Amino acid sequence: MSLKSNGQPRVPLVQTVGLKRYFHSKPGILARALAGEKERTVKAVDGVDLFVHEGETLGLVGESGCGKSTLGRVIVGLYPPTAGEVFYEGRPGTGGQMIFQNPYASLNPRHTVRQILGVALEKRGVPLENREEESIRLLERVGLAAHHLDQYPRQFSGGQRQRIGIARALAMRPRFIVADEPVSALDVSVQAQILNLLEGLQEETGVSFLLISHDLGVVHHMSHRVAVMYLGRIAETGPTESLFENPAHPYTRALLSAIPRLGKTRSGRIRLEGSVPSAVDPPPGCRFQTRCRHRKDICAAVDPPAVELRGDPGHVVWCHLHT
Amino acid sequence: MIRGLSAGASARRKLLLLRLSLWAESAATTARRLSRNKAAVLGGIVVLIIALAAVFADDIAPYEPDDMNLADRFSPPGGKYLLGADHLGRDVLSRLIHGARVSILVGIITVTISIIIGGTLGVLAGYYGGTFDAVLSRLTEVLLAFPYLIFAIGAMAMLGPGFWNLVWALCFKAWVEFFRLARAGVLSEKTKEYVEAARVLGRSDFEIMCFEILPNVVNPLVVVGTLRMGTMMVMEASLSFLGIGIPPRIPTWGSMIQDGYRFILNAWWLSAFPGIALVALVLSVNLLGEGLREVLDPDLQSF
Amino acid sequence: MVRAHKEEVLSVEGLEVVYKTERGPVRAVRGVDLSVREGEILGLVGESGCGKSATLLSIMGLLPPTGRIVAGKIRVGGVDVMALSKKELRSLRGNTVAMVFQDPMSSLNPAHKIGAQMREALEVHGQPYSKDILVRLLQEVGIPSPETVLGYYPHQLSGGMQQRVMIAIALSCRPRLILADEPTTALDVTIEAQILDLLRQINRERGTAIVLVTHNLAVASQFCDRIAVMYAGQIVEEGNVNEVLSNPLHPYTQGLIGCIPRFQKGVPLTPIPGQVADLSEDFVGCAFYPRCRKRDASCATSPQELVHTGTRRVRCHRYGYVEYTETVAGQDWGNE
Repeated sequence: MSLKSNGQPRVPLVQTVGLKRYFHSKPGILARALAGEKERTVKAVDGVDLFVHEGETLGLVGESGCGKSTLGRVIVGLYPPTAGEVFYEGRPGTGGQMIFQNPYASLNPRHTVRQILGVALEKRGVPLENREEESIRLLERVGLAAHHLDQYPRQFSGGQRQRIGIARALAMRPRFIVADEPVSALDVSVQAQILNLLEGLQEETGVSFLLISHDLGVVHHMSHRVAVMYLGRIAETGPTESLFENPAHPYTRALLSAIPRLGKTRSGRIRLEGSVPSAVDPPPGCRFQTRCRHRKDICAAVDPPAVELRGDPGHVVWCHLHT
Repeated sequence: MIRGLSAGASARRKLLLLRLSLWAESAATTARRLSRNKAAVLGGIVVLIIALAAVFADDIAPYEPDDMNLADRFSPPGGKYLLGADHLGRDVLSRLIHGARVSILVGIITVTISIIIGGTLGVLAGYYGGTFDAVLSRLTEVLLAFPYLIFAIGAMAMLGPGFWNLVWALCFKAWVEFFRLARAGVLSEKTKEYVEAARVLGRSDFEIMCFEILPNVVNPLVVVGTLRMGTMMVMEASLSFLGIGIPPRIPTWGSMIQDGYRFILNAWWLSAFPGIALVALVLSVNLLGEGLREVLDPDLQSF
Repeated sequence: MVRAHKEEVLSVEGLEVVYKTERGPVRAVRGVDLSVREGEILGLVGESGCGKSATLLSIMGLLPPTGRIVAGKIRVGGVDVMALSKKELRSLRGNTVAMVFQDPMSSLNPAHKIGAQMREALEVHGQPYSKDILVRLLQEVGIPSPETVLGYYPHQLSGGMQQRVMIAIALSCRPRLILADEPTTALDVTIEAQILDLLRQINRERGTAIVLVTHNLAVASQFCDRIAVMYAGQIVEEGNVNEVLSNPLHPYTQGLIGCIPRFQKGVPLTPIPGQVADLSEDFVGCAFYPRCRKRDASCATSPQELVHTGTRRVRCHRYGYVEYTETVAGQDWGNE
């Protein structure tokens, strides 16, 4: 909360500049010769500038295939960027830990909790004799207990596995964690447990989160700032309240009006026609122009520039309507 | 400093003990679940009996395998020779017991070598992909195109008879199956989130291959390996039957069948007993392998 | 009420389903009563393993071989489903009831074109299947250029379009009841909204009754007329959707609502402690007892009956004593 009162320009903990990540698929010789398949390039992330401050949660929302997961993975260093750069703690380079979506695939089924945490502690340089004690401390922090140490992942429920995944990330004492859909595979009652755990950790240690989620309710609840991603690019970013109260990008507006909210009847919904174009061949200019109701000629011709909304510091939109 | 060291050593010892106990526990679970499968238990018992006979052949065989007693040529089963004597008056039972050594050794050694070579190359090819993978995959496809027996006959014709020559001739193609199994396993495992998690923690490629992925792909290798031991034993017998496998002075079941084959109408026991032994051993190994497959890898449907 | 004149399309009484598993029998459904009338949308809401899908599969006669209905009665359009032969059941599935599943891709055959699959589905149900009819069906579910789509393979369509095709197939025989099992869970929010709008439109225009199984309370709140909240194989609360959500009577319903982020800054989440109940275990008293914030000593031992209170039903013997104001009552539910 102190973030908002602090108007001083600071060096962000994490920053990306013009970040791109393309995936090339090369069909085999036979597929090329017989089926006429061509080499394809998926532009998963296509020029993203964003930053995360110390102690802050940045929510990254978007629909499936918009590149949000890829972006998170480039930032922690799982994929090298195709172009652009990631800055971590002010220096070029990647960093941070990661919490994964699927609690069933993110823990090695052949490793006990002791081994899983042990690897992380070994990498942090904790001497062998202190690892057990440290592991127990981590387990207790995430709401598990010492007797879980020698159990295998299959002996835990989804929520408990997610806690183990969080403990593994915490074992590295990171200043920054990418949480990729951390609760979407969990039951509603367990989701709230995990979200509260993450919030508590942030209060305690000042860790920053990049929270990737398709669930706008979760993002609204957890984030200080939000970035909306569409087809490999950021469409709009801003402080949570301001973005949810006063969305400026036509896509954000449509997205927000589509969320089912408890007890609210759907009124004034903006209906989006069609579906997201392919990231292999994204439309020129504004990525959203093919589905936009406010489309002008310029939208297909020129990439929209970043525009900060008047009287709303930090709320930036990439849209020709606002230039 | 010294205290720190000894504390580290004791912690390490504790960890090792823990790992051993976990391993023993999982082995015990496997054994317990295996013991519920009656066919596998029967197979295991037969394999064990034959293996013990092979190990203690010198002690339990009633005669030396190449003791010739021309007076007793073609003695029928029963009496002095339990399973009869052959055309040179050698005890069939003693030769059978000694011949088990060859069968079992060929099975174990070829399969072990093939798993090590095929498994290692398969993990590397699956993990790194690229040209290395492409070249090896094409090579395995070429090897798979040859019928196994013809291939082995060709190899033995070039190398000449001999135990190790036979092992190499069999391994030359046997590793392919393990290569493909390991490669396919790694391909499906390496995209899973636990591998990404290990990479984010800073584990090296080597650590990820050995400690994260390998434990998850090794079970099918063990299962198929057990099943292939039977194949290897039949191959050895076939090659020895053709006279290009193990040199004639060492008794093997294949060469015994071949020797007896000429006298099949007068002295059936010369070929029949080694034949029965071979069928029993191969069948038992397969039953054991099938049982292992059910216990270790229920998803693995057919091989 | 208007409802009284409408015919009952589905009635379920005392349904109990048991699954055989390696770890022993699992009692997935433990006495479920449901009634759905023409033109009504019922939401069956609950977390994984609460028995909502097993209930739906029982109605369709589609339980896997390991599952068995051990007690209860199911009537669809007045016909006793459990007395039907396999053939009669198949004809019922095609004509009176239709089903829409979570994953359209696994319901469609990847090797056949959309047109061929629709034709086959219609033929099986004894419906006419000329090209014009197929085109009209696709138009009805809002698929642009239907002639082209008939020649597509499933993978050439997006998830939302695949789900529309499934709905078109479901609609082909003008069913009186649609059973939808998490039909939008695999879809993005904007697509989810499109599909729910489509289903609602079908409901309004044709009076088709819909049973929607979902884990998402927010979706149920916007889509359904009535909801039944399930926990551990039982209905714990049922009633008009606005009444249930604005004044939940059962502690589990209250807990679920407290778990959902509300788009209001500063409202903390109040998770339900512990894990979802294990259905392989039996319980004498209330299944929710170990996680309940409002339990008393007798909750673990006294069996809980589903009590009728006006238009509502609730399964909690402390109903009437519980202070609702603590958690959610008094909040603005919008809707005006």
